[in-house]
Amino acid sequence: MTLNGAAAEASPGSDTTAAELVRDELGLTGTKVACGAGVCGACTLLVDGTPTASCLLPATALAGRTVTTVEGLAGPDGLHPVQRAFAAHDGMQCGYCTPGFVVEAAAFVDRHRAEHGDTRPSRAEIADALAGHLCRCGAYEGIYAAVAAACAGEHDTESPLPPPRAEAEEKVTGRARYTTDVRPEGCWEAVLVRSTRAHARVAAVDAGGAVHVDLLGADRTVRYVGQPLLAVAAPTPAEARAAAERVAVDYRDLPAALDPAAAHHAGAPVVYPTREAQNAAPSNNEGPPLPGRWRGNLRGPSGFGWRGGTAVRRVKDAAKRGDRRLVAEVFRTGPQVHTALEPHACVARWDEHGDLHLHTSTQAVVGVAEAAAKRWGLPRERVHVTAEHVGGGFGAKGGLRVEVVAAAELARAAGAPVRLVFDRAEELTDAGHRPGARVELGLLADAKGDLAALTMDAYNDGGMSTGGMVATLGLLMYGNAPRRLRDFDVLTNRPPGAPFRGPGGAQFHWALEQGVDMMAERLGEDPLALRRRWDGNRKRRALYDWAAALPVWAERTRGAGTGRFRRGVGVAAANWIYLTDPATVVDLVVEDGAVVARSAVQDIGTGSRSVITDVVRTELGLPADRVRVGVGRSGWSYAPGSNGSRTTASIGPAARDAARALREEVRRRAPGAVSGSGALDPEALKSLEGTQAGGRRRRDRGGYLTPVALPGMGAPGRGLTGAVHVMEVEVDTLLGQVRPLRCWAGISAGRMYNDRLARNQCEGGVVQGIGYALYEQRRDDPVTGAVLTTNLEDYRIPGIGDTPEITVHFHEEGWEHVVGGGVGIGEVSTIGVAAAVGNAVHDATGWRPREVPIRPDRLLEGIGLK
Amino acid sequence: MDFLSPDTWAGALAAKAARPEAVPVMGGTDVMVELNLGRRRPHALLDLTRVPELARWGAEDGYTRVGAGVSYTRLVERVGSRAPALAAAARSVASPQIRNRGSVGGNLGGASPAGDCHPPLLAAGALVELASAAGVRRVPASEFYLGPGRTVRREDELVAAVLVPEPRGPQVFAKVGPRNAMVIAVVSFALALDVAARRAGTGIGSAGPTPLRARAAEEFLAREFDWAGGADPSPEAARRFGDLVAGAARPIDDVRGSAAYRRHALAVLARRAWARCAAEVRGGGV
Repeated sequence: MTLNGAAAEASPGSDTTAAELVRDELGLTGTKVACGAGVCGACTLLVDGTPTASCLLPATALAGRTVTTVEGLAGPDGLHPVQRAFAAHDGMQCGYCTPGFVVEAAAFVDRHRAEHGDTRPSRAEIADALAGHLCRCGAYEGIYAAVAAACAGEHDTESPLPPPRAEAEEKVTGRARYTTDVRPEGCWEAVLVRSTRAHARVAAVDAGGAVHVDLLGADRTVRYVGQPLLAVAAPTPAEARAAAERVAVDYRDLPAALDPAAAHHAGAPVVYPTREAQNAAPSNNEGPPLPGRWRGNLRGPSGFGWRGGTAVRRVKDAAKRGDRRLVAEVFRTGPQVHTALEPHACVARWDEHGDLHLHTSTQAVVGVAEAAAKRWGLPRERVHVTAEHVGGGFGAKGGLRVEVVAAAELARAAGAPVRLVFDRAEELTDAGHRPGARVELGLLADAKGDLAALTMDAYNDGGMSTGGMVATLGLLMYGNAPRRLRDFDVLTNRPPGAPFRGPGGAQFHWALEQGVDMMAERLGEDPLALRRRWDGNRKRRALYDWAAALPVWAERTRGAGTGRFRRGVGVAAANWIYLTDPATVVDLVVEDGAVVARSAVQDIGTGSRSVITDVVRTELGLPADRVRVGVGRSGWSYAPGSNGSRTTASIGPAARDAARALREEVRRRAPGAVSGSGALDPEALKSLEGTQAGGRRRRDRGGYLTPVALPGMGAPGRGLTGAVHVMEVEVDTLLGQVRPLRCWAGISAGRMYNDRLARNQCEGGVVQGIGYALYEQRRDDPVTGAVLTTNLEDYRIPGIGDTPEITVHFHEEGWEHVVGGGVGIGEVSTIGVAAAVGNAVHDATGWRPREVPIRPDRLLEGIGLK
Repeated sequence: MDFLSPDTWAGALAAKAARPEAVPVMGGTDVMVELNLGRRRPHALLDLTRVPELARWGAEDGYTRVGAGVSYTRLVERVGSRAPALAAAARSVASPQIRNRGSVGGNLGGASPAGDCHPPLLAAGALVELASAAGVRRVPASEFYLGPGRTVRREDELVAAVLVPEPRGPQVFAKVGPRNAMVIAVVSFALALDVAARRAGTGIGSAGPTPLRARAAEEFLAREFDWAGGADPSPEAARRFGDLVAGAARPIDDVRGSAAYRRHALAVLARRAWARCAAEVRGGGV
């Protein structure tokens, strides 16, 4: 074949796909495989100029063809215009889907320009062209902008400006290397053997002579279909699969609790029968689980609030007298699966000194290194964790997970590097999920319309994991009226949950923020005005004022519409805590005429590399090519994990502190190299080789809410971040479908370190919230407990055509006490979105959705139209 | 697994005769998914992408003969006006990369009840051409499907082509998917009218073990349709037609939709299809 302009030869096996050929045999790892079913488009190649899903193409079908991979898109004049456009408009976050998008978009742009000249295609045309691609980060707004601009001929020459994302060029060219792209010489492949039973004691396992590691706990019990019980390794993937198939497991079946609605009934099979087993239950939350008493499969309540007795009494009395100012409602959510496009993966190797090397797709580089050191009894510096690029995380890639444990153990047993990569079915079953919840809400207003009481009981469905924290989040909203907030875990023999972008927040706001809208209706008050009144916070009041002034809000028609297609506008507010990690440091050194930063921080698409890059460039007034930032190695300077929206608020201030320290060091050594404005003379850097300075995350004015940072939590800072989402939808009342048309996202989190990347992350938050509200539903077999939605066709995350036009507004004041003036946005930008959709659907139809996803059949049943 | 890759039609038929268990693969958009997801591990694949005959199309005795290997993209671009409902179905398939590779032949070979091409083939009264080393036969689409993934095709036969009658009136295809972008059908419906003969054909997809026709609905529409003027149906007639179509379906509850929703959506699609055909007759589009 002709590959990227040159003749290439290969003799692939008959069961090799084209994707495997280019990745594994030809080493062109820009092409990704994420679904294996032609749904996600990450593997798209041009075959004779035509975009083709290479995971569905036998490699032998490439014989005699002209093949172009993302690595071959660039021409003699540099990058393809579409690559430049994706970089300039930041049409990416984690970058794992980017090569596929770029290859398809290049073909579309070339054809469009040939047929229509340099004109901008419509949004619908772009959506059609890219319908076969999925971006879990939700970077679709940037992609729309990039494709339209490339079609219009705006990127035919290189931009004089650096792209907003530091590693954009690596991502659009396929050079960015992820864990799944790492395959060292002599590397073995590992496969997990998973339970086929929902609940069983494992009497015996026969590994059939394979190199293996046992993964069962002390009680030798499996508690869900898909639970890893053994891992095997072999020199090739095919041999490893065959070895896994030969493993014989002798199960002694136990009765299983599969239905969360019945799991706490008397006589239901008990998931954790002993105290030891209960204590060993995995947590689906960050930090230690809240205390809670066990009664069979019910754990809890872990109760919070203030004047809880008053709250309960007021709500009960109001119910008795039939008070219209009482909103008492039950809301439901199901499990939402993270679905990062890069699956969980680890390549483990022990070197000749006994050091452990882990290349892993993690959102906690330091956390993995520390946990691995502890587990294998090594000094921390002898565990070397690398995560140069990470294809999304969203909470599911924290800590020392099974892929790391298994790969490291197998590598020791095999005496060879071992690679373990989840397939999509494993990813959709056992990589964690946002637990479902049944939320009982009581919301009472007094005669003046003020909040008189809030009660919330949340029954959290995290499968066989504990740690649900939904109702507890009622501490964060609407002042200090009396409230009782109780969380329960309902245990079942289903896969364990994991923290997911704003853990508990999406479930909580789905219930509360629709309840507030119901209250507004009862009080005859504008929903924004009511929120503004109840929420005394000045920063968030600014967001309500901004939202109230939006034409879509001011000019909306009130009351349910008529006709087949009905439009509605909904609003929802959300608050989140602000965390930072005071132990964060950034070190700078002058090397090869450039200022170089090396940080352990991982970049899972949230832009941590770019935050450090921008701060150093700006602070030192240096051009782009004079600042280099390396991230994702545990041996580099300490940074926290990417969870709890804390990364930017930790590394940003430390980077600025380091840059200032470096400037002083340079001034000391070469006074002439620092200008009056504090900029460094780029030319002078050459003679300053080796100059170093370190910076740390200095303390906020007023300190933190706790005197010391909490393990696994960081320091909770002063102030809550806020979001107000305004969503416009169109409901098809005949087919029951909901189409989000436009969304406005107002965010109060202070100054943004990198405006475009911050907007991108908020846009993605809207997209994920829409998926939660409308499409995403994990389905489990009620008889066997097996997850049924094991591919991306059936577990439906939003595509580009599902994306409304999104406008992001930052209210930056109010965070002056924070070093650097800005805090994290990852979580607050998504947790309220589904409720905004729910409120918009109600506005359009008069029907109140109480369960996500708002499926067409539920909507039709709700509006009673047949 | 053996990979057979003949480059002539005769060679393909001979290979299939010698290895009847070989699974034919064109674009791979169904077969390769099953392989990748571990649902199937055949002993042999019969790659048909190098057989030039399969990629041809042309007119033949009142039919348009579309080779089994013509990609959806080609079908839309080149055959569109000669088989409007089929082209509309092809246009709605998945995504550009899938349309570039997938073909009607693959859709028929796999015979998934959710395949987009089946309803228009049923509605238009198309023939499926099956070939083996022993000979060629043509089977009406309405007799082709037996069950999920099962058809009247014998082990030694290959799908050679479909023959779609030249349109004699308006044709429409519509489907409902689970989200806006990249949709697999929750339910789909095709309607093809023969204005001169005052006959109607229907096809229902994703709502039964096989693609289905709604014969009672066809007869009802043939009686009630305003063949001369193209007036809109009365609300009662439209409702009745929708009910008859929904009643012909045999849907199940699955991860993509409930049986009740499928019936409801089919009735909506059917009513709308009638209205669109009527508008086309009114507009003199045929």
